[in-house]
Amino acid sequence: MRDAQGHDADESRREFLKIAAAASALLAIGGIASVMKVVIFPSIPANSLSSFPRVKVVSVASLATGVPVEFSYPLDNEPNYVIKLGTKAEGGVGPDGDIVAYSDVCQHLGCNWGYVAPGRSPKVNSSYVAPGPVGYCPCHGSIFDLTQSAKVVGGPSPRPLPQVQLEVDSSGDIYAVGMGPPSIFGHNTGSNNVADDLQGGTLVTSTSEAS
Amino acid sequence: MTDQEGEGGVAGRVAGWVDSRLGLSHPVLRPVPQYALNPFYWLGALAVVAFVIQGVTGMILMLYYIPSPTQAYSSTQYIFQSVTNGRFLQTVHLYTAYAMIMLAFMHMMRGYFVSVHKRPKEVMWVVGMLMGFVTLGFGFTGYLLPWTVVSYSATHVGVGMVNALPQPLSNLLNFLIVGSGGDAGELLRFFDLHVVILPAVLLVLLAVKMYMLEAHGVAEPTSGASPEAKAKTLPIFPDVTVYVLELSLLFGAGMLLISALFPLNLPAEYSAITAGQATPQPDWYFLWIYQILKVSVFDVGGGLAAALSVVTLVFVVLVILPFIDRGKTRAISRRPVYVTLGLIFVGELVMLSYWGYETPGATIPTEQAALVVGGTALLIALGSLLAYRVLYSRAKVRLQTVPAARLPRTEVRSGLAFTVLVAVGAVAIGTFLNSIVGIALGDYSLASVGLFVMSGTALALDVLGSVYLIYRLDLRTGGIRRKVKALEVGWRE
Repeated sequence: MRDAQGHDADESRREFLKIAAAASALLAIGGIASVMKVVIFPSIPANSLSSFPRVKVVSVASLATGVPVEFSYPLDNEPNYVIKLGTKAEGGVGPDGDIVAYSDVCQHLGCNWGYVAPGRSPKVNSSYVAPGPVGYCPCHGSIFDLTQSAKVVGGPSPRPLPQVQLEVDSSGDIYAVGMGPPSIFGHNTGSNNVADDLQGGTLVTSTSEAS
Repeated sequence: MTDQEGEGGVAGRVAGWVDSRLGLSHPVLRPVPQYALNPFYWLGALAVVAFVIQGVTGMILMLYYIPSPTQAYSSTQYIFQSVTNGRFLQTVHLYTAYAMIMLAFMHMMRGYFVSVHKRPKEVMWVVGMLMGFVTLGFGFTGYLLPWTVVSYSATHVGVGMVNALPQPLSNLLNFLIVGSGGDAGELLRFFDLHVVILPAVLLVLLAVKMYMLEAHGVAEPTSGASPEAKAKTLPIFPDVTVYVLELSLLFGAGMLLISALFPLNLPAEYSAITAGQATPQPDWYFLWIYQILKVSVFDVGGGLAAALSVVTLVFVVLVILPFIDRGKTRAISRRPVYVTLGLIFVGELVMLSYWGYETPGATIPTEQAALVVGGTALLIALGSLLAYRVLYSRAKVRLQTVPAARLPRTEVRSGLAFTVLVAVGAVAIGTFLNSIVGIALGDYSLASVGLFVMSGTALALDVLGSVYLIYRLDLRTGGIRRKVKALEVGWRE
């Protein structure tokens, strides 16, 4: 169809529609790409607190051998156990060097492991008898030797548990002062950069008196 | 019908009004062939009915449930203890979820065995598989909501698996299901997925699938349908509607009855201490994945990714199955390989799930896993072979006796085969007797039972092989018959 000037009206209309469609598609792709950029390369919010806090956990006197006490560190939703093992341990503090603390989150898939005393069995698996003080993850059976910085001695965990660095002051109070590698499960899992432990939550400022 | 309006008294007039306004007696949907009025044709429909029950009970539960880490458990407890029939509703919601997953699985396997995934319904199968994944997603996201010991651990395992996936998939999924708000954000996202996003996705997929079903119609029986059978159809309203309503009511009544008889108990609230001492097993439909994760071959670095690859492979094969199994025939009797593979798939799922249920939190030695998985496959394959021989042997086919000529090379081969069979048989008999003695002495470990099964199977295969070879010998001339079928009975003259 031709208009008064002899142009092909349909032709120009078609051209216009083509350009409009192409422009829309470009805009749409650009929009999606900007969203995908955030998804694929998330910007980790800078945490102004980049060093581990020093918080009181428990006192030496209140710890009984083989009774774990839970505390949150370094973020308020990250559980840890402090345990008096009864045998000297790597990184252990206290008069007998047998008080250790570890992240309670298994490095395999993030379940909470439980303490098993020497000669005892975990509730889930009666066929396993602990040769020494171990941590046993009830989900898939990872076993950590708590006297050897939570070395993996069984099960699927690819890494040992992150150890909490402890200090004891002159009055017998135990303080958590930092975390050893690897980073806590869920905090850039698999990295050895302990600064990752401080991202994604609120730092613990005061620890409730555990007894 | 409009022309009936005003006839047959008040009831007739009301019915006529309703009919003329809703167009019920002018259905736009295809009529349904008579042979489809069989419960097996309606497994998927029953899964949809389960979904509707889930919607109704879920909406009531939603009125009381609070998705926050501090109140999730207490509000669930409130439903159990204080809401009228709250415990019953919660029970119905859980059991119907189980039923929905089981029905979806049965629907899938039945479809596979009677070949409904074949041309031209490949895309329907793919959409159905996506619906299955959404259904499993309902289960997974529903886990976390009550904030019990198991729910928290199970969710962390799921999120941990997501973290082990390659980038950018891992980040994308993390963004979708976890966000960056810690426990509170995660719980809120799981809740939103469970009550809004997944239902919406499932409904869209259902609409797409139902459109395709309407386009293709229900599948004929595998034996084919005669033109008369095809012509015998029933209108969707009222006949088929009433039939489906009956089935649905029966199913719903069953669910209510089971829920009333076996009410749920709410497990303990999550805390790190209780979680470390609990038995955090997933629900039955994830037990097979749980068991695969526990096999010690995956204990090495990168083992998790390998285990997940196995699971992913299973799901991928399920999705693209119509493009793998492309044979034209739909008859079970003529697809022994695919039917056997399907039976092995079901058998392995059941075996792994039961085994996972029996061995919580214990890693499985790789050799034992290989033995049991392999043994299961072998047993099912053997059983399937026997079943095919018995069910589908063609008694009427006359076997041709090959002229008994001397075939020296064949004889040498047969002799070698005999030697191998005798040697294997000797070992198998020894192992078999040993394992019987072991079991008789009270060693019921899986390794010993596995050895019993394996050596027994080997022995059975050995005997079958020997029988086959003997049947091939032509006794009159000492020659070898070439064409004798396995398990053929009797000599033909």
